Amino acid sequence: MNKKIFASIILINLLFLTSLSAQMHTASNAGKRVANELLDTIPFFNGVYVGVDAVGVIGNSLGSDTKGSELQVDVNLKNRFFPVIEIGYSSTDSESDGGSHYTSDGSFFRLGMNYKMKFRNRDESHLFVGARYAFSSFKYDIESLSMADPLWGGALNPNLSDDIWGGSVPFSVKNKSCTAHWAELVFGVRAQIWKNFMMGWSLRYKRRFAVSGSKQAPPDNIPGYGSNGTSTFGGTYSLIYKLPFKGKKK
Amino acid sequence: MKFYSSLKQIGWMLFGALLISLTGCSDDGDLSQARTACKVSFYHETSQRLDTLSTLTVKAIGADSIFLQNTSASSVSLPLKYVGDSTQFEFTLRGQTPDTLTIKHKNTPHFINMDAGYAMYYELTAVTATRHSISDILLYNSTINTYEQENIRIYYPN
Repeated sequence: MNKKIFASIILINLLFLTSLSAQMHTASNAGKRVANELLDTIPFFNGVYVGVDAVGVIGNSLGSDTKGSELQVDVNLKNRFFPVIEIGYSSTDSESDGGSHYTSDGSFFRLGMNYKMKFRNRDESHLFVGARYAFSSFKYDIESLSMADPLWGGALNPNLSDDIWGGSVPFSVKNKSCTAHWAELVFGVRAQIWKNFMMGWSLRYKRRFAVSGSKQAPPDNIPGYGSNGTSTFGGTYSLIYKLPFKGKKK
Repeated sequence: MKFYSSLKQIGWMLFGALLISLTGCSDDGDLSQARTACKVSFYHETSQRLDTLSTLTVKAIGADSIFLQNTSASSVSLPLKYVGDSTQFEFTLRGQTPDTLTIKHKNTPHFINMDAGYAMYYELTAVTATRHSISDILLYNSTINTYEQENIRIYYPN
């Protein structure tokens, strides 16, 4: 008798589990179908966004040696892919304690794509990841000229003075043309502030591919890249406006 | 709900501002470039192996600097002149008659970066020495830059 009851319970459980599994499978398929249908309702073109980076302007007013700005234009495709172009200008004017003077100015552009995370969400506010290829063309000066020696008279360049045999060497590179290109990995946020106005920031890991210029006097700073090393981090903080036109809805 | 959503967005924007301000910070410390130098190594004449010499004195000629004074060493790093194309040193081994080492060089000043400053790079064009204690001399590597490498080999007998 007990055996029969036990066998019945197992049979009922098996039937229940099979039915549950079938229901879950059906629900999962239905979920996928709904998601795909939802994706199908998202138009291909969802607007154009124009942004201005404020880091260069704010940074310079807070004491940074570099100033500049950049314009960013991106297009929302399927609420998921955001091809983007960024064009900017940057100049640097820095002086070291020893009297070394570095100036540079030039333009840069970046071309790439952002990918909206949680793209099924139709909100304008979102997180994104992306990648860029970037190029910069600029000119720079480096100067460390001899100064009057207040103690012994004569002229002396403190940056290249020989403390053993005496004497010093002036150093000057003027109007040197240079190009650089690099790649960037981007993580960022865009937040809707009011109607078509948004703010956004992005954090970027930059990896330099190549930089031209003199081996004797390489540039200290690359417009759009930052300090001239093999890799660096940077960021943008943008004010963004969504242009008021839309694509046709499906 | 909309209020909390706005608060969340403001939080994200402030977090971004903090992150971006951190990317501009750096703790470089003292990166100033040390003076480049010509590395001279001492070798045993017959075995042709690196040798540690005892009671060696190395002085600059035309300046007050002493780089080694009655010490044991298998190599010495010698700074070269910034102005001029020839630098001389006096090598005295165990109180014997001093030898004069003459290094001819071409100087090229280099800019490293604004933190590290400048460095003088050299191309060694010739090297000669008197032969009181020194048996032989070899210009091993003619380039002197910020990467220290062996430039000159001096051979001594026992």
